[in-house]
Formats: sequence, C-alpha cells, structure tokens
Amino acid sequence: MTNKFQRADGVFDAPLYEATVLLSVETSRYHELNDVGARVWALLDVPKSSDELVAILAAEFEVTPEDCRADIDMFLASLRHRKLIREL
Amino acid sequence: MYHYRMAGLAITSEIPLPSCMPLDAAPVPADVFITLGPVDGPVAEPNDLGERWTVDADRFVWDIDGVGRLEAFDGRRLRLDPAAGVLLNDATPYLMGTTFAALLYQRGEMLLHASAVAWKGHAYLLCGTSGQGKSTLAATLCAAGSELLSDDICRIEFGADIMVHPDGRLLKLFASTVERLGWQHRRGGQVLSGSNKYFVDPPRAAQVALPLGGIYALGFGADATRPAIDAMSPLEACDQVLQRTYRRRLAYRLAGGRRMVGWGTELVRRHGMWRLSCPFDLDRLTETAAILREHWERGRPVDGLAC
Repeated sequence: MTNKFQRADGVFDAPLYEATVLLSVETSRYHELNDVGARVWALLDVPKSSDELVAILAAEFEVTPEDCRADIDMFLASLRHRKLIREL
Repeated sequence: MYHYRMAGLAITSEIPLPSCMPLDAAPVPADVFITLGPVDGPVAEPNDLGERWTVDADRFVWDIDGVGRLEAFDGRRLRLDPAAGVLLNDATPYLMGTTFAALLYQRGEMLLHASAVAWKGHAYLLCGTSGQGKSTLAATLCAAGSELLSDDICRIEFGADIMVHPDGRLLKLFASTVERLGWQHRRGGQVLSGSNKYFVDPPRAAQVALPLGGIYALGFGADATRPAIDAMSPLEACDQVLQRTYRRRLAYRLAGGRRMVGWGTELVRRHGMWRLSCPFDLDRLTETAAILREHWERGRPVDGLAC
C-alpha cells in the first residue's frame, strides 16, 4: 500500500491572479502553484496517495495515468522538499 | 500624563516617549494606555516561546536583561516594569517597538517595517532591513518637500483604499546625516544612551492616514551605478511583503498565517511592489529621491506587476 501525503502544518494558501500561492510559516517563504499544482493542493485537503491523485487527475485532465504519474511523483517530491506536505 | 497619536491610535502614557511627537491636548477617548509598574512573570500557558518573550491569546510578556519586563495586554495596555538602575529613555524604545507591535497585532492590524513619506495626498513606503538606509532616504525626501508618515512601523489598513497610518514618531538619524541635511536645529536627544543616532523633528509630518501610492523595496548596492526602479513579479512582491512584515514571528503568533497570506496577496493584487536599486553613496541620495518623485509624478504607480 502506498503512503498517503498530507498538507504540512502552517502552510496557508490564497489565490493570486491565475495562480495559487502558498505561504509556509516554517520557512517564511511563498511558493506559487499553476492550475494543475493548485488542483493537487486542493485534493490534498484530505490525505491521499500518489495512486489516488493520479487516478483523479488523469480523468480530469484527459491524460493517461502513465503520463500523469511521473509528473505527479516529481511534483510531490518538490512539495516535500519545500516542506509544504508530509508523508504519512 | 503624556498624550500621543501613533499608528492612528490615541495614546495616554504615564511616562514620556522621547521617540514620539506629543499632542497638545488629551485625546478623548484614548485607545491605548501606557503605565509604569510591576508586570507578572511569563505567560502561564504560552502558545509560543520567543526570544525571552511569551504569548497567549491576549498577553505578550518580554524579559530583557538590563532593561526590564514589558507587557502588551488585550490590545489596549502597555506596561513597563523597568530593571533597577535603567534609564526610562533606554527602556522606552523596546516598549514602543516590539511591545507596541505586539499590541497592534493583538488588535488585528497589519504592520510593515518601513519608512513612509507623503506626497500629494498619497503614502509611499520604503521597505528594507534595519540599517539599510530607509530613514536616511525618508529624511532626504522630507528635505525635498515630502511629509514624514512613518520611520519604523507602518500600520496598513484595508478598505476601499489601502490606508497607511502615521506612526507619530520622530526620525532617527545618524549625526552625520543630520549635518548633511543641515538639520542641527531639529536634532533632539540620543535614541539610546551613548548611541550616534538622534531623534530628529522632521520639517513636515502627516497627521492623518493616507491612501497607499506605492511600495518600494530598497536595494543599496555598490554595483548600482544609478538609481533605478523596476516592477516585481507578484510572487516576489508577496515574498517581500512577508519579509518586511514587522517582527514576523510575532505576527505569525498573534495574527496567524491565514491572515498574513490574506494581507500579502491583497496588497500585491491591489498595488504590487517596486524594486528601488540605489548606489550605496550618501552623496547621491538626492538623486535617488528625485527618481522617486519622478516615479510618483508620472501617476500613482499602482501597477507594480512585471509584464
């Protein structure tokens, strides 16, 4: 069973023009998400595994799960590196 | 009793505040009371421990060796319990800096660490780190005709316009800057005993809140050959607003991250931010001031977004 990911504590989101920005209190930095990233962030309001994210996004964006997985894994790794999410 | 107006609030104080411009008459009613006397120990169940300060929902307590214990309570009261032998004038900067900021955050206000001047009915903020030259540039702009709005803490109020409140304080300038401006007759006492910074009464000071005209992040650099102004991207501007939030950690604890992200994005959405690059040369500050005035005269620089 793959682990789930969850938003880190102390991270707050807000819309800014066409993007979504995240404020991390721990790192005192802002981060910007495009529309796909913002959708992943919205889905992580409830902990989800990468498999669950791939299944949802592949259907929403009409791409194959195979094409979606690499991008999702890379994006989740980036969010973890920036301490915006944590693995449960 | 002593009376002041700072950050748009009427203040009545048992002790004089040398950094502030006094009012002639008592404001009715006062918003904030400053008293001298014992302060109970650290907050009993703190929700954060800072650098010798503790906070809970309505109380901020700060212990400073050699200065005393300071308290901000419920957004309405400041109290100073000075250490034995300390001069009041050496304790009040701590009271009217971080402790007053804690009180303002208790009241839900947004604060930026900035100097601000007024020009033709609008407020222009100069943001930067301590010692970067904000006060000196603000003073140079005042010498050229602007009114002083703030030299340290800018209270930002969101409404139909984004308003900037005057902080009611005197300028704090190095003796060399006072001499360069020819303001020896305006110089008051030392900011702290033994320091080379002095309180200076500006030629003109704004008395009311003004709508925001523009925000500038200062960058003094030896490699800047001439002053230049360029627009920041929205993300960079948000980051700058965050970095220039006054006593950011205190803001997190008292205002909260949700409110802070709202402040940052609304400020950037409605005004953006400009980057002001200046040569690191005091003799060229009048040139920088002229560039800023030209930027203001072209029309309100409300669109600070990179294209």
